[in-house]
Amino acid sequence: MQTTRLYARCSRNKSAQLQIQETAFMLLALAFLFALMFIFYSNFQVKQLYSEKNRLQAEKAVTLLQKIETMPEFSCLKGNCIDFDKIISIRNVSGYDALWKGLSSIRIVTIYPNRSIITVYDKGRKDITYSGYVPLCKTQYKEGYIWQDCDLAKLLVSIEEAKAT
Amino acid sequence: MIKTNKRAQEEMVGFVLIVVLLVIISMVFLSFSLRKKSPVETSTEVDNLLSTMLAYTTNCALYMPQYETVGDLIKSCYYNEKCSDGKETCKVLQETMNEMLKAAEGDLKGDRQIKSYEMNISYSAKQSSGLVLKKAEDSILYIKQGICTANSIGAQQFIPLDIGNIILTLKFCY
Repeated sequence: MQTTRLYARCSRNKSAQLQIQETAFMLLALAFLFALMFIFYSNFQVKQLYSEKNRLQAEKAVTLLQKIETMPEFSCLKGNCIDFDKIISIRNVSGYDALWKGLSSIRIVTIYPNRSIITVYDKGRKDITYSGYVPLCKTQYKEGYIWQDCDLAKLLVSIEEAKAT
Repeated sequence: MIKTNKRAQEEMVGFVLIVVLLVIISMVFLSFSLRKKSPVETSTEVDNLLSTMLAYTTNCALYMPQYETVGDLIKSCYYNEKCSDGKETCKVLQETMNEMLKAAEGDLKGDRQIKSYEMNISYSAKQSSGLVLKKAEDSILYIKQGICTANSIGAQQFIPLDIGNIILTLKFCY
């Protein structure tokens, strides 16, 4: 009688152990599944964030370049372009140093028809450089006519990086 | 017997619930990943390049010494005009665009290497014949270099002309 009771208790214990094991495995599998889902989701979010960062950086660059392009020291008489004669006359003039505050270099690279580099200002530092295409125009005069002769160029502006103290 | 059946039913319900949960989650993931991407990614840089190209002064003048910009030359090409030196405006436009795109191809910034490019210039206008509005499209210039297989960046610009628009589309594949 006592042996039968002991056998029944042992059998119940084993069954309970099995059930606990089953639940533990189930929970483990669920945790693994949720971890996997979280990894996928965070990867997706990181990708989205990077593309948004790139877009914002491009917009910031365009705004900065447009600001410089429209400065009276650079702009043409008509249209959105850079005046070749103006930049030739102001390059390396120390009187403009206060105006270029926050910038470490301003360069214009002509791409077409000829390739050349005009350095307007250079502090000699390697910082973040933003670039954008701009028409570089020379004012031409012939037989009483005045017109603008524009080349395909790129404006490169480097800004001083803020250093963490 | 009844107790065993009930337990089996409970387990089955639990299993079905888990399967339903998994199906819902995978449906959400699928809807995210299958969301249609636009074939060409619009790029600020290409848009900037395109507008700068339009301002380039060509060596074609309809009336000396008023040299045409690329933007004006496209219009002149649409009207089949000739430069003052006798050259056809469309030929000058094609030569200039080809050379400019080659020069710009190597200059487009970034770590991506440009493998091919495609430019399409066409005129589009809505014409009315009777009561019906028809959309007429004329091709002005089409340039294609290389084969585009993977990702691409591009931009589109419009130049108003008469009752329609000249549509410029530039696409770089990398």
